[in-house]
Amino acid sequence: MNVTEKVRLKAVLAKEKTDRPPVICPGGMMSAATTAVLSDFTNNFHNDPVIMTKVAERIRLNSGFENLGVPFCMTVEAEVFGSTVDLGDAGVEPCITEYGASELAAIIARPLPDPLTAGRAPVILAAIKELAARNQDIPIIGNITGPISLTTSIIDPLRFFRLMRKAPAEVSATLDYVTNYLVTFAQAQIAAGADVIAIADPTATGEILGNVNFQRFVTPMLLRLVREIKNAGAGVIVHICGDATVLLDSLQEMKGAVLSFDSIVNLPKAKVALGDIPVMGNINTQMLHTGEPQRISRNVENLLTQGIDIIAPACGISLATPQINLRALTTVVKRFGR
Amino acid sequence: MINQNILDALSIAVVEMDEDGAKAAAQAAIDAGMGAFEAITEGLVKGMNIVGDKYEQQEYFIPEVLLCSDAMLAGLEIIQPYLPKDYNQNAEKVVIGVVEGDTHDIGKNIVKIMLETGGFEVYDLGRNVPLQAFADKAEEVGATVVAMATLMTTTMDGMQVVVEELEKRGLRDKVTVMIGGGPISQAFADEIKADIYATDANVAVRKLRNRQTAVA
Repeated sequence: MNVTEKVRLKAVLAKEKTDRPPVICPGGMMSAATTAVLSDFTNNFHNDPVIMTKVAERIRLNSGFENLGVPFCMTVEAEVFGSTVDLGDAGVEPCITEYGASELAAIIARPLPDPLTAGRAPVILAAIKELAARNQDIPIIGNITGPISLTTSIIDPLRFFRLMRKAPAEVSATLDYVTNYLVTFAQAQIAAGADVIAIADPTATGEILGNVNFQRFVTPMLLRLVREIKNAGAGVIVHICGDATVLLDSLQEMKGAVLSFDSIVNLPKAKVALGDIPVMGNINTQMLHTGEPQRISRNVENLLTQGIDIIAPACGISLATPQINLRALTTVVKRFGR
Repeated sequence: MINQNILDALSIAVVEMDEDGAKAAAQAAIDAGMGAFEAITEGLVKGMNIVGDKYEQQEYFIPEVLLCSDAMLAGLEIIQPYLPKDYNQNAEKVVIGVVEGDTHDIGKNIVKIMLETGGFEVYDLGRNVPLQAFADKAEEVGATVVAMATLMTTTMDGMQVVVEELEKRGLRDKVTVMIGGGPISQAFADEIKADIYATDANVAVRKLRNRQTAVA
């Protein structure tokens, strides 16, 4: 039987047996839109759906990853909530230059943005639609920024962290509100043709928040997102940055999602702790940037023999990552079991 | 209140993130005629050292550390006017910033708070800092420490440029270069000839202090 990339990834998400693990790079925070790819295009890869579509396809062709993923940044949602964004260029990623609000109340006071019209969300949706129309056998992964990372891209993170203790009810209400938007954005991506939604919340780490705060402020939002995305008919990947070891108890609740971890996490141990939740990861992104292809290949082989469900980079990829290193990553997976 | 009780109250208020408690204890210290310097170092800063340990032991996380530092600053505001003018004139000067190309500054801000608490005079260049600016500022203020952070692998090579720039200007021997952040490791610090690699804010302060003791 000819297993397509889409069939294989969907099988893993459904916890079914496959010939081998898929090798993917979802997009969003974990995007393979490196300088080597972007420098072939004019500067509008983050705000022109036609160019975004071409870049996503080129990433897959050059690197060998078995998916198409957009957007290539984590600034789409924050911009919708009023933050100012510098879109960068082929050598610099988009980043927030000015926060959109100084108080939590100002975030909630804003009418809930409509993904079909507000900011660059329609660009992402148009790109997903085009990608889905042109690539029927390849999984399309849409990406959203997790609630904590989104909120700390709208107001100063240090102010937000203080409020977690000083005004926890208000913090929860704000997270709930931005999650309302994230749900509608994810649903719109699925309606446009996304097979999977990946959620990355790099500010919601064990090191920054600790397990107690994570359980109180992050878990409920992630559970809601996972439930809503599944209800809309798509698969879900949740990426946790940093050392998630202290969070493993909380993460056991994340049934129905694939969990993706940073390179510091021991994946076989995480698999034991997480039962039948599929685990994804976790090739060190610094090694992908500066390491030798042979070393990358050996690391991938280790993950394959450990039975990791999806092979992927461990975190955000440096823009300066050489194509040959990404190729080394994907090639070993594609040869596995042959 | 006897003096030891006041000092304990200052320290406890900081550890318990109690701004009002820190203010009240600070006022009690002034009313009791306690030396301002003693109230700070044996009370507020002692509390902040405990906070640093709790942070390193993963009992406290960023939200807690921030509120503890707020409590400390609230107490400090009351005591500071009573300090002798020259109390901190021997403080070491630190230039700190997130290197160019990176705007993630949570970690840098925590390090800054812990350094200030630890008695260092900190010049914060902010985030996305042009590489020349580190040496410029260090030269301008006569800093003995240059501290750089980055969260991104793309920008870490910029740290080496800063080290080389300090060398070029003949400042390298006078300046301790400290680096940290997600992708940074001891191996990388060795490679670019940085003096100190710190895994977190508390470690950063401790390593700088240890080096002071070693020099003294």
